Amino acid sequence: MILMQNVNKKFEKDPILNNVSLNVNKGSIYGLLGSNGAGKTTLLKTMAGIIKQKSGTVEIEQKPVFENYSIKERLIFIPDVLFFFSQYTTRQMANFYKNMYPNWNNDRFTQMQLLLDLDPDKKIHRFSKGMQRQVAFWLALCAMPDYLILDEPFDGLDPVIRKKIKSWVIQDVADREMTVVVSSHNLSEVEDICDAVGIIHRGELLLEKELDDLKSDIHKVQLAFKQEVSEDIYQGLDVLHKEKRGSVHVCIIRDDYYEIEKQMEPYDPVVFDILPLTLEEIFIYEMEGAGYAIENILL
Amino acid sequence: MQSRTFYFKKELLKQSFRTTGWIGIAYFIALTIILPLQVVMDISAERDEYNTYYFERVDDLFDINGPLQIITILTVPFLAGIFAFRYIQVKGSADFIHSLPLSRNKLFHHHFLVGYAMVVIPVIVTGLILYIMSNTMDVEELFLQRDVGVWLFFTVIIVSLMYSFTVLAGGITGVSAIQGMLSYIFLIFPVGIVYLIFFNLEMLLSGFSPGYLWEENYSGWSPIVQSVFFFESGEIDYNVMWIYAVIAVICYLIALVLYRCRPVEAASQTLIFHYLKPIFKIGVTFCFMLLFGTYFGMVQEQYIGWITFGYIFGALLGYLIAEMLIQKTWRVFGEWKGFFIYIGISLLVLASLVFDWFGYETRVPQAGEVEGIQIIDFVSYYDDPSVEFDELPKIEDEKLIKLITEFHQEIIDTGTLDRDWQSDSSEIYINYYLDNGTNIKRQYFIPSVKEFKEYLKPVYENEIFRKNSRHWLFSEKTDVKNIRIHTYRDDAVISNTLESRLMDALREDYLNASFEEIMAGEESILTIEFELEDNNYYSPFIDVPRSYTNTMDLLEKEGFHKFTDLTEQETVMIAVKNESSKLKYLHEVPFTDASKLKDVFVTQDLNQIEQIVKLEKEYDYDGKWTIAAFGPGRDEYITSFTVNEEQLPAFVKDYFK
Repeated sequence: MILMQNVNKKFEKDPILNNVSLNVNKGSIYGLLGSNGAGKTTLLKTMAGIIKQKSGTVEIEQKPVFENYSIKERLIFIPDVLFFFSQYTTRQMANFYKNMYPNWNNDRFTQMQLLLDLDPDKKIHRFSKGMQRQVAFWLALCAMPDYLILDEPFDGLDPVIRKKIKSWVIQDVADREMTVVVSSHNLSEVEDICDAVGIIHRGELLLEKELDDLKSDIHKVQLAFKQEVSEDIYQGLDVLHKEKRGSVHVCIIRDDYYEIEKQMEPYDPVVFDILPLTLEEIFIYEMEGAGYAIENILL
Repeated sequence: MQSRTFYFKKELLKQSFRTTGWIGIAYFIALTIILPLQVVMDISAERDEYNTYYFERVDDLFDINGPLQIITILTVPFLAGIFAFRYIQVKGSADFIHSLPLSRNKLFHHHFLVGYAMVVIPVIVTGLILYIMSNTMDVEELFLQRDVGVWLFFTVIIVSLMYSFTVLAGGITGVSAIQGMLSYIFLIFPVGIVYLIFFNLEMLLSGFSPGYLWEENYSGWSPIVQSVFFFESGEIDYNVMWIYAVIAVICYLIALVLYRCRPVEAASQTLIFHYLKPIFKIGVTFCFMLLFGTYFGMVQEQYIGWITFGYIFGALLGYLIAEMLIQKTWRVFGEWKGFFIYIGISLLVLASLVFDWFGYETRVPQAGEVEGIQIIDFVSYYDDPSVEFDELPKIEDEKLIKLITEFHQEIIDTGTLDRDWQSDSSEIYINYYLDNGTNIKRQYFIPSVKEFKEYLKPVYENEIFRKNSRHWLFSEKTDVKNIRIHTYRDDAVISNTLESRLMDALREDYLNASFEEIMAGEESILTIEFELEDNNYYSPFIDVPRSYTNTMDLLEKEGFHKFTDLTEQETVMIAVKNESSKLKYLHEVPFTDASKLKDVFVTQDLNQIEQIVKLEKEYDYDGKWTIAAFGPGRDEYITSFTVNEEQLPAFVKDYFK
């Protein structure tokens, strides 16, 4: 598992990370969300032991990551802007990885070659951007990492490849309990694979949630009554947001489905819908509760 | 499975070689062409070619394509240092390499080693080839086996130092171009800054004494200057080389430490450690200030207004350039606070020198508090390596001490003296040893020694002064290889049997010469040059006038008439002038327009020449008439001498009537 506590980082005099603490469980996929310049990349590079935090601790398996090559042998970071040695072919890169990462799996390399249909002896810089990204995943997954850190991995990929890559990652998580951290500025891009999500804004981690918890007990409730009702109807419920559109009350309530039903029944609503929320809506209301307007933070 | 205990990662070495390999290959090819191939070409050429080596003084490997060797030394290690560590200056590769499961120590050593190999292996292989050549081929006339060792030792140490220094410079910057720039600057900087400071102090402080040939003494502070100097002189100072070797190792260690604490995200920043920025800014500003001050001081003849302008302008330029480099944009016109503080402080320092707040310029010790004085004429002085400058004998005669302090006071009272060179100009160095154990050292340019005759005549006639000025002539340690005599036309080597007699005669003549004779340099009839065993670079010499009778007689007796007797030489033109002639020096006659020579008698008539040339042996130092003789070569000046009016033949007297 990955544990960060009170991590601070400055570039020159500008603070980039401000007391960030987060926790990624083993075998889970963690989505790190934030707008451009929020500090996602810095956070991930710190997590990958590339740069050193100014203060605080960054630990994987209870050991500091920075300069710890026994952990780095099992950790791969794929940056948002891919890097390959100039003039290298995929096979040369693979040899390099094989020399660096002791868990390198050659069978998998040949196996994936069939799936990908890419020529390993062609120079990587001649590939298209999407192909290069596939090469990056190809190499990374053959190193059999226990930790995979991905910075904006789906940026600019078409849906087919995106799906393919997602499925590889999920498969490794399922098969080998690989731990994945993936950053994005777009929630809908990662919500289908993440187990947990953290939102970072201006170097601060605003929120960290397990998605199952979130989805199960937040509801959008639409109500209409024949006669006027007082505010009392909401008593005892955790109302995150409410508004009235004509005679229809729309509110977001964090509570058990049956509790809400039981409470509303006596007032005999004409319209009574309890709807699930999209992940995006959940975040909007959660953040509102925390005093932020999410439109400014996420798409 | 790969062995995990092996320290080096094969693929990383390979990758590093892929980026730097071309340097090693190019260097090897260059060295092969410069040295072994050149040698093969030379010995396969016709035998006559060998003669050129004698004249070009090729006697070791540094003399074979020396300038090209210098060029490679000044480029290859820098390129290797830059390219071996190129990956830390580029964001993508810096992130990637540091995400690998390798410690920073390991990363550093891999890249350092590969880069170093590119620099050192070509040198060693070339050395090996030369060694084999020296054993198997007939190359003795070019170099010996021993020379290969010396060449290898020198080249390996110099390139190692340059390489590890460049790597070190890469440790404080995130831009490859700046890395290269900083390495060159810092390798020249120690010498450059001393030169600049001394030049400026010389301009600002009258009497400031940097010492004899001080430019040379500091050249070791810069490996770049020093190696150029080595190639020129062919002399290697082994102490300096060992110091360089130690510095190379120190640079490597500091570079390692810097690498370990280098933030990876600093790639593409001009300076990585922000506390270096003010130092960098002040440094650049200061250097530009001194540089421009020197420039305007030299161009505008040390006029203080122009010098100050140069300082302010240079400081402004330096400050802006430093700021531009740090911010990586030329639009840097916002921050002036630092500049004004800097200018304020420097003007204060400048004022303290110009207005002499410390009393440096006006300080003349009382004759009573002076124990002894070393006074030396730097123009005729020759630096004898066997004697420490400060150990030269001192003048302790009280009368003379008093005279020298008066002379010193006179110079100060006269004010700034023009740096206008004349035949009797001199650079006088005075070092007072005071009773309280301290020293006062001053150095003054004297445009004309004759003008200060009142003070300088007793000094120039003092035996200690004379012996100090030509120390090599009297020292037992002086190891003379050859003595040559020259006139403007001929030269000859004196035989060994004559050497000691000639030196005795010269010593006697030199010590007995009057002030006037010493100052009569232009009228010398011949020059005697001493080639020394331990210095091919510079040979001391002494001009011999007619009045050095012992020397002249000896040479005549030994059959060197050709050198001692003007009548034996082929004179084709004679020029005569008197005191009122406008032309200052007669040797300028061939270059001077005829219209300006109306008050000079010039003749090419052989009869007239014959009559005048005879006068040379009856010279008169107090004579008001100067006669110059010219040879058949174009503008060939032989000698000149003075006579008095009665001695002149009638046709000359007629001309001036």
